[in-house]
Amino acid sequence: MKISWFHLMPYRYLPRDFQDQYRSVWVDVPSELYDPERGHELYNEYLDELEHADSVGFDGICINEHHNNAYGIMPSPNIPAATLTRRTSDAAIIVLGNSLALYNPPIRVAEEFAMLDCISGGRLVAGFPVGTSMDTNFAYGQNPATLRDKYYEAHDLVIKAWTEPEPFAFNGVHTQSRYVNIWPRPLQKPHPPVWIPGGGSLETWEWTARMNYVYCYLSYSGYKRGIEVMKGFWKEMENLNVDDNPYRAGFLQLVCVSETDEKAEEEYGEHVDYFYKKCLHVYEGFSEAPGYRTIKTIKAGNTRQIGSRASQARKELTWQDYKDEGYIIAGSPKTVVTELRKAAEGLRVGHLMVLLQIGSMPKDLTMKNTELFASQVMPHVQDMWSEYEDHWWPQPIENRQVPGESVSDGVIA
Amino acid sequence: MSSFETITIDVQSIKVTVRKKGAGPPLLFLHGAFGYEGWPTFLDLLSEHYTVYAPIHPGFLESEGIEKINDLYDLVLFNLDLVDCLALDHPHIVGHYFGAMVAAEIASVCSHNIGKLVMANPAGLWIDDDPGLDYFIVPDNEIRKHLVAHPEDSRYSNIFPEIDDESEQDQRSIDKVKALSTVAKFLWPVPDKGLSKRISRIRCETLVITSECDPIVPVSHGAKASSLIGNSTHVTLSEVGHLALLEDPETFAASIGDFLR
Repeated sequence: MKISWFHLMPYRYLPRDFQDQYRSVWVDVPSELYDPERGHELYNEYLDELEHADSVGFDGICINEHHNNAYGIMPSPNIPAATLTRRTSDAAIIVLGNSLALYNPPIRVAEEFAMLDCISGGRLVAGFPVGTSMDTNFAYGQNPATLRDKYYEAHDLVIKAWTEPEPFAFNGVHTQSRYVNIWPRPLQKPHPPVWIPGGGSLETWEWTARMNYVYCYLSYSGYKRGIEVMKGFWKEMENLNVDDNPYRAGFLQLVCVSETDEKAEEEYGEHVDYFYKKCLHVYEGFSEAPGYRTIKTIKAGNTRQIGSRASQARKELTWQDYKDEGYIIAGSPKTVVTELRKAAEGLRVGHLMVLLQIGSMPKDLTMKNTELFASQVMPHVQDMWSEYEDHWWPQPIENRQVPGESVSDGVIA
Repeated sequence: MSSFETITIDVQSIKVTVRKKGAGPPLLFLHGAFGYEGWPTFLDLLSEHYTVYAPIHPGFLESEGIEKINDLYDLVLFNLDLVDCLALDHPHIVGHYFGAMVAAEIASVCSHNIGKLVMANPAGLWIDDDPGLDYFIVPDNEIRKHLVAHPEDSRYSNIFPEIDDESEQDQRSIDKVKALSTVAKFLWPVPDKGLSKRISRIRCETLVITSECDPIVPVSHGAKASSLIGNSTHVTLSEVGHLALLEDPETFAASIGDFLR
């Protein structure tokens, strides 16, 4: 199993009564709550944490994209990704991802990912989420009726831009260009592995299977609910005659490791609370613009994890509830190992991503969580799925440039 | 009240269901984002003097074909073809909200075969200081108070009523998502798609109706539309909201009837 370290980059300084005073952490969260001096500290601490994860042996480091959002201050993930190409050496850089419909033209995604792949020596994973309704329809004004078509068209354009050797014209509905011909091209061939983060849309399952991409179920409803959804996913793979290689799937799990189960609650409780009660406090009206979900998906009921019904459900949650539902896996290393193995088995996930910086969690605690996880949990879960091959992992070149020591042979062919 | 007839026509290979009733000159009713179901009283009142045609637009209820109508130009051409397919001779066109925008758009392009035009609570205008409510973000259980002026009044209890039955509630939610996603297709995120640039081309005599208590379409939008149309009157109905056509069908129908005569 591959284990990757995921950062959401939350704003840690929302007021105590935030969820009572304001209707949403996302879309219309007031800008006066953002202190850019705090922002300066946060971005730098968070990048330290991601770099540290590389140095202690996580297989990958992950970042993502959100807009108008206090729980994730990365509207442009390619910016931190760029710093990570230089300041990390081994971990896969998993940009999860560029929300394709929000880049005009999408050729920019093809170019920027190609740059990241080249600079990193071929360590990029290209993530293409459709994007939440909050990000796409509300923050960026994308039409919910056409968002998915725009996304698919953008995807096709990016893949073609990466792989078509000759300049080509693209006559799309949403993008037209007479001369698509990106310079540079990605290092990995035919292109970086593609992962698709999703929230349970049935159409996404069918498409990722057909394209042979990784489906990452990103849910904050806990791994137990996740297992139910993933059962549906694996059933759909079976229906489509696709194999059950667990590396077809990714999942993000919140984890809190401490010396003992009791100490985990003491140390992490308030930060997990911050996450679930503030970070996920989204106004119901912003959760799904009409047309964002297909009727088919609405009827299947997979996707109501945000909005006031979900918010209400989370208001009263206790530490024990978080653990019981699998919202968090928390406790001593032994407890965490046992439960993480159980979760990974149930989900059948080969690409496990862990969230070790949670909510208001400060750097020293995040580092502790990371250290304990890397030294006492990771070695005991990495052996899972060893009988399967991971076809969806970066293939970097061997002799990668080291910053400050970059030398090429200078020979002109 | 005798019941209406249902006819089916083929417009650009899209099957369209049209409810029809009445006798007299043709009147085409183009519905809005809410209150489009069934055969409401005001249509019945209008059918006393006009032959009323009320199509269900693609993208609402069980109607098909919205995937073929992808931008404003497609929408205008589809509705022009709809009028042709019904073989109506100078129909009056009455539109509510989204339907009013469609009516104005087609009349802007080509008024030659239109009688008079009524734009009730029209969509498609935008005023920075008075944009109107973003009803797309109002949860299902709160929308009612934005649709009618006096939600507590028992006279209006059958407008967007509370539903106990869970599966009926689910069906209504789904119908609402479909309707709003169709409207969103053409109006998202800011409903100004250029109508105010074109609306002066309308040659028909036009009545713009707004409601005193409609948060979705401010009175100022009606005033703006009316000011841009050469031969136009603007009236505001009191004590009614966005669904004036359901809240006070007699006054609504009478305003139209008086105008059309």
